Amino acid sequence: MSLFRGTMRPPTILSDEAIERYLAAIRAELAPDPLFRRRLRGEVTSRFVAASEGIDVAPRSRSMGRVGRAVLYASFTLALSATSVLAASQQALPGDPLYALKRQVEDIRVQVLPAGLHDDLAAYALAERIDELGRLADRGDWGRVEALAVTVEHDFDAFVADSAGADSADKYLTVLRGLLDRLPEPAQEAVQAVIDQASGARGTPPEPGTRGGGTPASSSGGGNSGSAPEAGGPPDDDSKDGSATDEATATPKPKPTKAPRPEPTPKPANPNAGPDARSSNQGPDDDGDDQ
Amino acid sequence: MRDRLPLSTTLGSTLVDGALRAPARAPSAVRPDASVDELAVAATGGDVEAVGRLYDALVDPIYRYVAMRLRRREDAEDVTQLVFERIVAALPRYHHNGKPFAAWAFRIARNAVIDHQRRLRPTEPLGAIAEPSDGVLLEALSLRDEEIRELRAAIRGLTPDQQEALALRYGAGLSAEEAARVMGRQAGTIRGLTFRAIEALRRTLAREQRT
Repeated sequence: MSLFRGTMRPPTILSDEAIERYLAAIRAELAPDPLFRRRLRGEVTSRFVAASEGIDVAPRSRSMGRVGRAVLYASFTLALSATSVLAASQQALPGDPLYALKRQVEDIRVQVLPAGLHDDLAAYALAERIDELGRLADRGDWGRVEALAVTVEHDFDAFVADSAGADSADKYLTVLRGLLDRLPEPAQEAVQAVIDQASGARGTPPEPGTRGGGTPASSSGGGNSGSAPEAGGPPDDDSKDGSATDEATATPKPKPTKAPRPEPTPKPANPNAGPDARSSNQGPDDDGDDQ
Repeated sequence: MRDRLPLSTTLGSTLVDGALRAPARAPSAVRPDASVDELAVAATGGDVEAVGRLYDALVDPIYRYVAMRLRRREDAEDVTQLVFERIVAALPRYHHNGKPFAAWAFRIARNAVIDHQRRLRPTEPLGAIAEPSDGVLLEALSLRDEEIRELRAAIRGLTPDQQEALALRYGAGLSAEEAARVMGRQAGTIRGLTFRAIEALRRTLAREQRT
């Protein structure tokens, strides 16, 4: 023990201002992950719409603990290919018993893989939502179609507006094009408008065969979504481009052949059947008590 | 040029003859520069776009507050998600009575954090939670400087009220008055808590540097 301790190395007396600077640094570092923020936004709006339509969406089950998460991380790749339940869950639709598992797997993918792949994963997840939208439309489950559409639209707008996401937009533009003829007429117009906006903003010619490519009715901008880039209208030329093949290969999964759309059936009283319905049925136990 | 209608609006308008009658949604009438309180009022009226903008306005401060109170990023994300679930569920019951919506939302966040901490260590007082020995720590993920790590460790030595005040003021960026509404205290009390917290942190860090 040195008698000179404290004199050989005089302590730095931190000022209150220095502490506040450090606290500000902590605050700056504590930003939410962009993908988390985007995913949660879709979930929040989706839940709100579902609730406003009288669909009682169960709270999402909390994530697993550290041990469970670590085990799942370690065995994720193997489990995904080997477990029939997980494989089956990949085809699940909102409201299906395995749908929560499907979404959980998507979340785990994001957490396991490097941040550099998050945009692609998010693009894949969005393509999945669009695919689910089409299959729900084929099924005639219009309640869930509408609720899911909110998520799809917000996620799509965010991606097109996001420079990193814009690079991935082609993947699900292809899916949206494939979805076009399976939706009701007004919904086709909305989807076409999304495609036109994205194509116009990215300077790519519209996909041949899509209804809105270069037609006067769809060559408009002035959208009200705010986050989506304004479209200058698609180019007039209808020439085919070679990118269609590449885009098609990036499509997550082939679409089923078009089936006649069934008549909307009376919706059963299923309070847990929201697009993001999770396993738990517990209600919010706290809403901030007073106001 | 054709205005683009939200997909949900368009879909909703196709469902009027279906068994599940989905009301068509009018485009949001909320001004682009609407305040959080105005957005909240619009959201309680069913404006989906207002809900999205409300989320945009609140997600960062709420996440930062939660992350400053908890250790692990996964916990912070889980609790933040739970907070917004509760906000959405409680929105229909929200009535704007002159009190800031943000304070109401932060009360939900505060209660969610307290619930989470009680579940984590039901027998230990808040603020006395041991550092987890494994898992991903917030510090390891994001904080680079040794001083900041020491500061975070020192924050955990503060009283729960001091931690709360610091998280609200420096994590969420609330004013003393806003933090006071969340904590149910007087603004002067919050200022005092913050002052004493910073003083305690300064002493702790100075002591550590001496050793």
